[in-house]
Amino acid sequence: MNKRKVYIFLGFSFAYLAGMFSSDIKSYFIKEVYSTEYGNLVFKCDQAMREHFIAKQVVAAKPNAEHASSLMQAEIALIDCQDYDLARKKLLSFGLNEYDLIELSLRAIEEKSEDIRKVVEIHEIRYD
Amino acid sequence: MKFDTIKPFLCALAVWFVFAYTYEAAYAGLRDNTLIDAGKHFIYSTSLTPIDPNIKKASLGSKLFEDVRLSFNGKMSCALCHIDKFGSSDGLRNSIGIGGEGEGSERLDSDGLVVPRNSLPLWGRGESDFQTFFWDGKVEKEGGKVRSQFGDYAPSNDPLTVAIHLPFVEIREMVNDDYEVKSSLKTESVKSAEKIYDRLLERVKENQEYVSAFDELYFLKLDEIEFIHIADAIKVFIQSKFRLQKTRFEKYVKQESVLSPDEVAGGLIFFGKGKCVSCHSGRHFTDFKYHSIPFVQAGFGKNGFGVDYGRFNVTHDPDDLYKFRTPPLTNVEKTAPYGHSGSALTMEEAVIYHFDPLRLISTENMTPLERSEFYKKLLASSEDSELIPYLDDDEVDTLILFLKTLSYEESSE
Ligand code: HEC
Ligand code: HEC
Repeated sequence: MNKRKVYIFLGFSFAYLAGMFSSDIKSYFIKEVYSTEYGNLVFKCDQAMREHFIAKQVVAAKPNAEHASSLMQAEIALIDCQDYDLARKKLLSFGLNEYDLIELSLRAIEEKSEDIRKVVEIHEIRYD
Repeated sequence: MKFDTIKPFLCALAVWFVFAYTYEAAYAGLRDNTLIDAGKHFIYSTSLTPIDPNIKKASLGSKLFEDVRLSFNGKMSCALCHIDKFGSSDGLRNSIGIGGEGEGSERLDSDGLVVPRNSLPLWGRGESDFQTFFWDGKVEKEGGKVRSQFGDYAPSNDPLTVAIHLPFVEIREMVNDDYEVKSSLKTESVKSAEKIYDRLLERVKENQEYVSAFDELYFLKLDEIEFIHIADAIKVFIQSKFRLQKTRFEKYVKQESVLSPDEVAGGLIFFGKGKCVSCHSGRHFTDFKYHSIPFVQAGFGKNGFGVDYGRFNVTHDPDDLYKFRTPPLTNVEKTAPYGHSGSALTMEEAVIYHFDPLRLISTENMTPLERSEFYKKLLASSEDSELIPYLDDDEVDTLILFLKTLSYEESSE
């Protein structure tokens, strides 16, 4: 085999491999770049939903003006979930799929909890 | 390359930009609308009848506000603690009263007696809806009556006028703490207060300029002038000099001006996640109620030895231990330090004390008494601090950007 042929062969193989894994490579970089930002939003939205849930329970248990006002504040705080939704859409449009996003959420959750059961619980609530 | 070849790409790019832009704009619209609605609901829900202070009375009040002859030892004036450049507060943790010399931190070097509370700014105090005065609300109007240490002998049925009477007779503020005063006046009783008012009134009457001003503006002959008239002139001065003015946030809510995206983000935390508005509500950014926030105590404290029981000192109700009136946030940017004892040096620290006080104190450097007091304060605050969730540093930063939109715009003179 002469040198030319080796180059052509290597070139083809590289292009073939790159083609085969291109979306994974892209996803990998996108995930690395956005994982902190996305993880933060997962946490914030989760927190906002918990607070909102509590505020609703408080109003149900003791309906009064003060608690109604707290509920309004908790509703405003849900804007964090809007940010989370937008980030999801953005990452999907960049070519990530649902599983990539789940992976990012899991990374975020694992960072904050040592207990795997908690991971499963939160995971179930969010993605069932 | 020919133009025709790239035309489709250019078109696609243009369409994409337009799409992205409207998407962003619609989203920004959602945030703005949410914040504007929240501002209308929680802050500017009532309309205020503007007061129209008499300018001449205000200028008489201004002179009295600055006059050192109106203190027992002739060295102190209201203006020395309520200084303009510190947003009409004095820039010190605890105020320094009689015996202090100079302005701001210069006063620390002098041998003044420390007033065990952080000086309060006077913005908006002259408005008719401002009826609860001092950190512990020791002067307040309730059920049509002014409650204060004057008991049934309140000099006026207007809480600000009553509040203005107090610094003149409060030990350490404007009354000399020497032996004679200690033994005869320290009780802060109504009788001893009257003695002081009489003496100060005599000094005013000795001044021809004041006498003719009271004649012209209040139609009073020399022997008709009373201390209440002095207080009234100072009140009119406070109403005019420290009147509420439009802030950037108010203009934003009234859609006369815009805020940056970060300021909007901070505002959304103020009204949403941070729940700041559950206490800092209404046009003065206070609910005029009493809450305990675990600010560490700086200085001697109202109850001495680093203890300040706050509202309890007024009501003697154990539920009120360590509670303080929610401070208004008008011009908060300019009124450092913060908290009833000035223990937070920056707005950032003030905000962090609400949800993570342990970050700011090193418990091992505190005395056992200081720690013990701090535990009690933490316990007292538990009910309230349940409210405020954890905020990260970026969120605190945007909150502070928002707090800065609560300042009067420049050229307020
Ligand atoms: C030694 C410094 C000092 C002097 C002098 C002084 N003040 Fe004050 N002022 C303070 C401090 C400290 C507070 C907060 C005290 C507290 O709440 O216990 C305060 C609070 C006030 C308040 C209540 C504000 C609010 O938000 O409720 C008013 C009104 C006031 N002062 C007016 C005056 C007037 C009028 C004079 C002159 C007669 C005066 N002050 C003199 C330090 C001073
Ligand atoms: C439970 C009621 C409550 C909530 C909620 C609350 N505050 Fe406060 N705030 C207070 C009280 C009371 C003080 C004074 C405490 C003291 O001096 O001991 C205070 C003090 C402050 C101060 C210092 C002001 C000064 O002039 O000294 C700032 C700034 C402030 N709060 C901002 C905020 C922000 C921002 C939030 C939302 C994250 C918030 N507060 C939530 C009650 C509250």
